Amino acid sequence: MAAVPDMQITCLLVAWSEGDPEALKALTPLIYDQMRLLAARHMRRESGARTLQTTGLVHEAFLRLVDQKLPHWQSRSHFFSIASNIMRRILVDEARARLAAKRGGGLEHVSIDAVQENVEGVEGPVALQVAGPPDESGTSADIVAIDCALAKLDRIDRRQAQIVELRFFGGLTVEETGQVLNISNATVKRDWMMAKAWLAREMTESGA
Amino acid sequence: MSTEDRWQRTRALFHACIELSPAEQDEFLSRECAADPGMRAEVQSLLAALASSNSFLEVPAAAADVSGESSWIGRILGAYRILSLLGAGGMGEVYRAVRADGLYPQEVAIKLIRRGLAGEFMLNRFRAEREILASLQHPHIARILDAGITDGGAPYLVMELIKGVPIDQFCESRGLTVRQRIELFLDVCGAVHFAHQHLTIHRDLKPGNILVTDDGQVKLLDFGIAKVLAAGDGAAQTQVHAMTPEYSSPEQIRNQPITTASDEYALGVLLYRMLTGRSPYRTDSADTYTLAREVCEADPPMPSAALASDSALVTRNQLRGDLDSIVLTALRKEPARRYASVQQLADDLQRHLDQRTVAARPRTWRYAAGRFVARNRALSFALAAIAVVLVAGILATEHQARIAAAERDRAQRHFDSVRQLANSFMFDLHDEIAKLPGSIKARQLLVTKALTYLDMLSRESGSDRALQVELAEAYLHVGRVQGEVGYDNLGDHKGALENFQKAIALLDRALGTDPASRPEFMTLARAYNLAAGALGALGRPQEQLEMINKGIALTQRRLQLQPDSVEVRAWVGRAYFGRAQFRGNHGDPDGALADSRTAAQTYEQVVARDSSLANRNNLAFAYSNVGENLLTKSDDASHAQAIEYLTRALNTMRSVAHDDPNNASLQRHLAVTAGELGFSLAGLGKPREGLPYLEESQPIFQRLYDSDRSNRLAQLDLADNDENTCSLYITLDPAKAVSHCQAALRILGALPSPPASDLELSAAYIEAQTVLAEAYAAAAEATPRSHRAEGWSAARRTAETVLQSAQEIVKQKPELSGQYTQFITRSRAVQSRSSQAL
Repeated sequence: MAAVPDMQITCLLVAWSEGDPEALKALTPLIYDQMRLLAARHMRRESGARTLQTTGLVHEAFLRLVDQKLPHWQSRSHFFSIASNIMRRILVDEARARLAAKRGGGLEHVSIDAVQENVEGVEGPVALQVAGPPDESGTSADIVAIDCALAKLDRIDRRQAQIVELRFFGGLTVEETGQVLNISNATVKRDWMMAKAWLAREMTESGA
Repeated sequence: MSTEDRWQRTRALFHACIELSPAEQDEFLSRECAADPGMRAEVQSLLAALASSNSFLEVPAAAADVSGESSWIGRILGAYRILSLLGAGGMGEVYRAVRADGLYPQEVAIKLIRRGLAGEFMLNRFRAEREILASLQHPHIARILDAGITDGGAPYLVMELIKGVPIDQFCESRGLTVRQRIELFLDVCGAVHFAHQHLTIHRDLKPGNILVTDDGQVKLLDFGIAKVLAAGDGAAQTQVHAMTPEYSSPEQIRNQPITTASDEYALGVLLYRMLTGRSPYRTDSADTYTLAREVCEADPPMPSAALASDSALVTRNQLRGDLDSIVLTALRKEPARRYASVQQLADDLQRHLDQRTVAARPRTWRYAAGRFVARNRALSFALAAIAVVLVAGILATEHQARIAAAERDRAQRHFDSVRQLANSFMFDLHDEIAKLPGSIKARQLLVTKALTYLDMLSRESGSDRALQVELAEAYLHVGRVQGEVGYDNLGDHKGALENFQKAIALLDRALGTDPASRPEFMTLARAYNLAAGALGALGRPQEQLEMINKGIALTQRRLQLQPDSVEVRAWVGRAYFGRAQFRGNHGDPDGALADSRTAAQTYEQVVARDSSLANRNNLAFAYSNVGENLLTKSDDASHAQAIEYLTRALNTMRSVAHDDPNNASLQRHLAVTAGELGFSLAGLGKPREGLPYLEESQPIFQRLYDSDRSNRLAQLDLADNDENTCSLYITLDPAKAVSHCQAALRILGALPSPPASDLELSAAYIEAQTVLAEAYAAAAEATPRSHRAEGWSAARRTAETVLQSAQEIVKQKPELSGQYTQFITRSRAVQSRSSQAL
């Protein structure tokens, strides 16, 4: 994919940054499609995946999709915010599909500590959840579980949930996260730790 | 504080804590949360979760390696070849596998525990625990077949592969009836109790861990695994677990010791959900903090009230009564107030299914209308039950005092070390353990160990009298744990009797030819008492009587030697009272009468020396007992005397109740005594004289009922009293009789019809209706001839209702026909009288 900025996306982003809510509605599906293509490419590039830790898909998408000459630094923040949310959806959909394929579509309860109760907002048979301190977060089950727990956190503390969405799904740094949310780095760090703790506990308790 | 405020406060505390060292955190939280332990627990739980989640979320989702998750598939682990991933959860992944050598074709599940969770300590613990887990072989427990540790250091468990659905879903999807649900639940109880007997607590019972297979077999998963995990990091894990609120017990949330009673609580929540389809709590499970508070503080609504609406399968009426009581007993906040074991919970449910009276409901006594003698026997039984409770209190105090004395002696005399060991086993450790709910199994273990020492010591005790007495005390103690009647015990009356007899043999040897002359005679008297109780429980009345007689002889001899001792005299009184009860229940009314007179005389002497409330209360019991025994005679002189004794009992109780007006059980005893006198007078053909006494008891019962409307005993008391008043009025004033009977029925029934599961209540209900039919008939006869038709048809209608219900019950429960024959006969009489009149 060539690094040709998508002018439609750029224009909509500017319009949204300037306060046009309709722009967001139009923007979301465009970014979703583009990012899914990007993500698919990354997933095929198996061994290379690990090298992308610092600059995540969100950054890459921004570089590729948005005209870098844009004057508004807010546009970048707005893009990061919407792209992180989209990234979350892509990864979760992907993970669900993977799990469903693994189970052969059938519902089978097995002797595991996987949670059996249906979690609000999750369709399909079962949300498999993962516990607090995994060595490698990122199995399909983990992703779905984190998504569910994050939805619960969102109801209690919206900003903490946003921080997790930006950092974990969007791959943003502390500084970028602070810019998007317009809060200090120290607050990002502290709330990040609390959100991590809350999610780890939430997932252990529903899973263990 | 609102939920939002609480969260902000939690957040502020958490933020502050992460800048502090663990020690400083502790101090900080102690200071900041002094008034709010719940808040402290919440913050600590978050800190613990943070500590064990180092790398969690630190690698962005998109960058993680998603292909690595199936890397175990196809590999060999121990004796097994891994086939596929079944799922992943908090502790790791679960794989489907078969034996690699093809020896057995069955598939198994292998649970691979996440390396991050397996600290060094946990691995050691895991090696020890797997032996225990592997020994848990029960048809309803998924078996642990094998266990090991991977090359990479991750522990794994090989388990029976269960294909099933969570038990609550099974109930719904199969459309089980209430009975079927309870039967399924009893299987769960059986498995949990079995594990408890093997000293394993589940700690994490919830529908997701209790599956039902296609053919309806219950299988419990993950038994004891929570413990293995908890061993990894005591504080953090317990904290994390403490925050699984919906199926957690209050003690789990408060981070207090987890016992078998905690599993029982979880079972209570499960049963609640199985019966009502909902959680006992109102809070959404996502709101952890509020839910945790609700678990600790709020009493759940009765299941019958929680049921959204009657369905074809479950109705409020089915849950009301027994099931409400049973579920709420299991869900009591204090572990000690729940059932003593899961077995007892199961027993109660079984009794409910069998339509026997359940233990979760308070026992009650009946003194309602019926044949005079039958009623009288029921009443004396009830009074005896109250007496037993009072005597038990006295005995317990005495027992404590004796233990204290034994401790002192022991310290003074420096017995050898083995003996001290045995004693510490017996007394200190046991008494500590006894405070823990559901500790019976551990106590039994202790008892067995202690008995080994004791038997050894007793062989070597030689002629050391002090040692022999001490050993006897120990044997009695063991016996009480095994099977003292009326206490939380192991139900092993035979074993208990053996040890009581050992104690008696030792004491016989130690105390010589005149045991009453020794200060230790009290130990022997207690041994006789205990042995008599055990013999009674074993259904050996002849030997029981011998034991009672020995007790009487011993205490009387002691009284000869020590005539000024009030305590010894009270012992004599109790001994005779006990024999009066025994004889009354074993077809010896004359003997019972003689003994009750002796008991009453003895208590009069006791009260003359020490007129404490307890002594006077016991005297009243003794007087009532004499009166009841006299009423079984058929001559007028005896009856007159009976009334005299019952009056004495009443006067005594009036003064006792007056001196301690706030004591509900004394108030009730007063009301019962007054009611008994009133009704006895009516039974002797003097209803007008009896009336004032029933009017005396009525407001007392009313007050007791008003102070606690959920008290079923008080409800029955009040209804009985109205019904008795009704019987009295039948000849005096039939219209009043009708209104009292209607009052009784109103009190008995917010219930539209006799509840089939509650035999006692349905008998009371039908009895009240029978009396009502008779009252209508009497009222009809008393009205002018032109207005009689209405009264007669009411009488006939009521009598027919009784006939219908009574015949229905007798058809279902033929063993109750004796009790119900009188209602049927009396209602037939009313039916034919009214038919003729109409």
